Amino acid sequence: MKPPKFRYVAPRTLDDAVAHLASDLDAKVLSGGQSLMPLLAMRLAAPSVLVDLQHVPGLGNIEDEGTSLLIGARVTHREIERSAVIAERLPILSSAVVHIAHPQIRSRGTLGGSTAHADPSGEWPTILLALGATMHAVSPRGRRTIEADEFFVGPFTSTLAEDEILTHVSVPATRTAWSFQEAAVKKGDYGLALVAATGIPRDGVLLDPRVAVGAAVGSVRRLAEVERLLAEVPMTDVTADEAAVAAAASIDPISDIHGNSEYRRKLVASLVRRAVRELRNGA
Amino acid sequence: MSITPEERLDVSMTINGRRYRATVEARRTLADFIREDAQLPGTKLGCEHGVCGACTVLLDDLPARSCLTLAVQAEGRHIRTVESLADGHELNPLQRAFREQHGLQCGFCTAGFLMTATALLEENASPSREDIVETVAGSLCRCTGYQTIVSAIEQAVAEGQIDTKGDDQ
Amino acid sequence: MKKLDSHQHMRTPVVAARSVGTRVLRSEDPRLLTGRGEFIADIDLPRQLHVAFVRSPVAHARITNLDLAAIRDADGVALAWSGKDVAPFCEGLVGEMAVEGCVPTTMPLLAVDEVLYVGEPVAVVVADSRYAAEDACELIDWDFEELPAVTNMDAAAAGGPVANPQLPDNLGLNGSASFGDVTAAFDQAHQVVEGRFYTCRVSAAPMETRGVIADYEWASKALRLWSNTQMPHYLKYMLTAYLGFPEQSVEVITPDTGGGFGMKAHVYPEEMLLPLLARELGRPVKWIEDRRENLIAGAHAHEQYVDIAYALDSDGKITGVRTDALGDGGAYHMPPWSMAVEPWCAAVMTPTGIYDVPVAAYTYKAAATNKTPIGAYRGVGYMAGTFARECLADDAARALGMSPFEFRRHNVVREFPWTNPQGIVYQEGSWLQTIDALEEMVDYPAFLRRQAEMREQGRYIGLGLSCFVESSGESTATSLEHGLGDIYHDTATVRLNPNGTANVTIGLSAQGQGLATTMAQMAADTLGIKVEDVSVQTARSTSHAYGSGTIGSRGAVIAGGAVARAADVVREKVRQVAAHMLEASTDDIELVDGHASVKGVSNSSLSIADVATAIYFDIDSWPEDFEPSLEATQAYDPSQAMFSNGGHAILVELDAETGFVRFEKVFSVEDCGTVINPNIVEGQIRGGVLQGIGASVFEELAYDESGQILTTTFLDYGLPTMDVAPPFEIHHLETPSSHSASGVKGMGESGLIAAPAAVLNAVNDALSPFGVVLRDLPLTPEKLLGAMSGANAAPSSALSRD
Repeated sequence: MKPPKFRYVAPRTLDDAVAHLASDLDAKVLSGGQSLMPLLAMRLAAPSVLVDLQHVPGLGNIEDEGTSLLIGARVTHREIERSAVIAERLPILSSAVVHIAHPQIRSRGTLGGSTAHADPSGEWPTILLALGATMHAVSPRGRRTIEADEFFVGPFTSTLAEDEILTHVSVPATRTAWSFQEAAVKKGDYGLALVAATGIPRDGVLLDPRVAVGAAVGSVRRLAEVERLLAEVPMTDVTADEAAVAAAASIDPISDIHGNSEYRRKLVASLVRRAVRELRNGA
Repeated sequence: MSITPEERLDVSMTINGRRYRATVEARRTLADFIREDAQLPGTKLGCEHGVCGACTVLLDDLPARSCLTLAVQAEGRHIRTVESLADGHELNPLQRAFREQHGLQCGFCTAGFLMTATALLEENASPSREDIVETVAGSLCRCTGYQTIVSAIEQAVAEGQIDTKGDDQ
Repeated sequence: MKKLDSHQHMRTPVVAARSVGTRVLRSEDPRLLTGRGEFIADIDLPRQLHVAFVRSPVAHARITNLDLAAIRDADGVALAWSGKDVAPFCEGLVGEMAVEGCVPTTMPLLAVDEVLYVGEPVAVVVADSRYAAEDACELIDWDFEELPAVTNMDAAAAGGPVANPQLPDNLGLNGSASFGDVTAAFDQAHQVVEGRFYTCRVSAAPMETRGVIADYEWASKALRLWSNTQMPHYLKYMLTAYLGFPEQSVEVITPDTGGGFGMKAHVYPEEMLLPLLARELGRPVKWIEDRRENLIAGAHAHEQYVDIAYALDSDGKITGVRTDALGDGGAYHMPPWSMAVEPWCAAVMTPTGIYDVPVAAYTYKAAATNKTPIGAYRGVGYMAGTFARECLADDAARALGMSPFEFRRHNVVREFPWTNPQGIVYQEGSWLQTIDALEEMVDYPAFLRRQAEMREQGRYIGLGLSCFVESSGESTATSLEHGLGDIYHDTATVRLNPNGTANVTIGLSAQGQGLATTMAQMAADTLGIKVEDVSVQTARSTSHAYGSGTIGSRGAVIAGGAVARAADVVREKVRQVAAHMLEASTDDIELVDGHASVKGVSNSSLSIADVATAIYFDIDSWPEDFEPSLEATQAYDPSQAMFSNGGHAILVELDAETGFVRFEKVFSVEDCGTVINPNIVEGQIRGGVLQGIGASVFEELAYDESGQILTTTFLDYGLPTMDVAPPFEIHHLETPSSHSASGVKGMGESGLIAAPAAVLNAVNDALSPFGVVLRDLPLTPEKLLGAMSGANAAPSSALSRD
């Protein structure tokens, strides 16, 4: 299982990286490589050029911006796992990151790479959607930001343009009520269902609840019906069971050898029930 | 642009303290570079898609799957493989613990476990059981049932603590 | 039933244990731990070229066009062949088993007109590197006319579209036998329990894939073939028989092997193609299988249905058993075991298990399908047979209101030797003691209390039992007693050096089971020297010693017997000369701990090293008419079929929200007769049971209706990892064999043979409040959650708690 031929370049500036990516339609960004390399080994991808970001400065920091954290695209899962500022300001990330594969993958895989890959079974797309994160990207046309709600549009499909590089992810740190739930058969497996729920607790009410589901569905998405339930009533009255039923009814789960749609529907219901209970208890 | 994309590149890296240089295809994996260009076949290939962990090496002291890394990505880096563990012609304490606990049978996965355990113990000389499980769960073994691998790591931890105490005296 | 004539090589010397029975650390370990093992991928020959295969992407089709021109023109390509290029050299490999109702098939080395399974090799490419070879493979120019894909074994066996034209009724195997009046037993039964059980398709998935290197030297007509095979001598024979390479000039070399588990105990098209390529090109050629190939085209295993019924009398005793085994054999018989390796072994080997059942009937069938051929995987059909018997035993226990322990104790054979309905004698065993030991180890009353308490809390734990008898030490006798005619024999060579150390060569290759260490223990004890003074070479080359394969839990028994016999010849020489030197009678000389001493006379001894040196260099030390060679080669084959036994009890908890199974603990009892090295025996149990757990819950090679295989990487085929692997409590019983060297009986397969039944029984025990009994593997989260959330679920306050 050897990769197909490609050319490789490791530019030293972001401008050079953008230029290389733009110069060839089939050029692809190489970050940690943990998602891309298996595709290459299986010859499911055949890029013409790999643009390695490892020498581009400024993409590997975690900056505290007050109400949000700005995380560079090249920050590794391992760095997130060990980051004191993330543990304090965004504990949902610390909680979720240990579900990503194994330490040997986390030492190389990056937030930016996983996010741009937009794998519906990946932890970051679901969590960034639940946090209402903002992606920062750069292309020959300049810089722009893309809200999470507009970023993940299908399985392995984001709204990043072919010649765009994700440079940072800005994550609000105000959503102090949170829950992350994953059902995976073995440690580090792709989850069969992922649920992330966040909100801003204020006087017994959950403001702006965001609930996202991944893995059990073809594309990560929010559960609007569950969010409505959570927003309508004071937290103490919300029944987790109602939320679970609403979630189960609103999704169109996928079916594959790891679980059929009926099973995944039940899983999502259970995970939503757990997430809502955790949100309530945390408030 | 300051550099152009190339299909073949010169690459140079340090493996087990020694510098290796070669001109390789961009697509050549670090695993193949280590095994063939550097002629260090102790690192094994079990799946070539990043799941089995047999190819795990230390890249700048962190465990990495060498089958998921391009040789060119390791330019200028420091790699350590299983061949770096033994102390001259003596098994190091971790290797000895694997032997004493019967933590290997066919030996094909063993280098991966040794390197990933080495990374764990270098970062944390007193890992919790949870830390050990987290580390060991990242590699596959078809022969041992894993518990003897965990026992081996636990023995290395226990002996490490004894050594540390000795130093303090 | 045929009995084996008695021959000299079936008798083994009595050996006093010194090293045998102790936890000697393995001599293999230092090189494996330091990255100095030499596995096939590590071997490079000068001027070697690399091989890749183009494999069928469809399950069943006529090849209407195959053009290799673009491949042959590609960079770095030295040669490319299709099935038409290969056919003149070899029509294919015949697969069959010499049992009633087996219809042979011939499997081409490369498909010629038709492809019959996804992954079937269609073309072979040789290039400068594996990278270049894979690049070239992508340039394949081919067209197919697809044919109906046969994927369901029941439908295939009932007729309909033909999977393989060589098997027009889709049956590669169809036979039956009956012993005693089974009809009467069932007619007169007070109660009959029956069920249809399914063991799913799995892969042995050793961590090291298959690999072959071939080097042909035309001037000397010497062929050297490296293969990580479990059957080097058989493979060597095939190279002569099929390809005409002169037998005296063929050498098969087995390097260090990263697990075999039966998958590497076949003769594969790839092994036969590489010598032809080497001869054609005049350069060495090397093929290292990648993981996708291994999961798709490496022999598959275990897929079968077993319909089983027990006739029970009013006392709850089994009075008769009927077994009908139907295997999904894949597209061809895989040589040398054929499709029979599953259903025949399930039905015919130990058809009554550990139970004292007087009559038995069975049928065995293998259906051809458009899937990868089935082959051997640890325990072969014994697994499905034990699975059906032991799970039906729990069904029977439930029907009778007995505990699983009580039912087994009630029916177990208690006195040995015992003759089963087929007339096969089980000489010795601890079948009853196993049940008792397990019940005590698990503390069954305490478990029942804990289970009841946890049910109150909406938590579901279960305990499952599986007690087995396992055919081990596979031999000529095993074959003959079960109606086959295979002759097994294995040799070992022992040489004592002038300094009193020894070299041993055995005919069996090793894949991780520590044969070099255990055979050193056997040799050391026989010769009376220290185990560190023995150096063992496992079958590194077919030029030394002879072997019939590392299979059938036979390694330690067979190699041990041959080693003991060869060492005994050398021992006798030493005793004769020591007697002469010490002026004593040979009968009074004992060899222990490196010394030759006179029984009962203190201070009368010599070091064995001194005796050996004298034999080599001091003619005055020799008795009359003495032949001074200290090297002996002897064969060994047990005189009777051999059986080990034991049991597993597995504790599980089911998650009522996710359907996941958590394996809390495994209790294992193993009786393999004399234990040479407890570390190694325990290691085999741990590894085998985890494979059994994998085959029950986590692993399945899945196909869709078009015959497309869906599990092609480790992302989809999920081997158990450490976090799901349970702790073990292992208890050894020792009932030595009456007729093997040191009483060793062999083991290694029992974990995979017996654990799946314990897993299913445990899960069904946990599910009992839900009134659901499952019978099919794998026990997916989907199935378990479905069972727990069904209409007849017992209401639990925990579930509606908020």
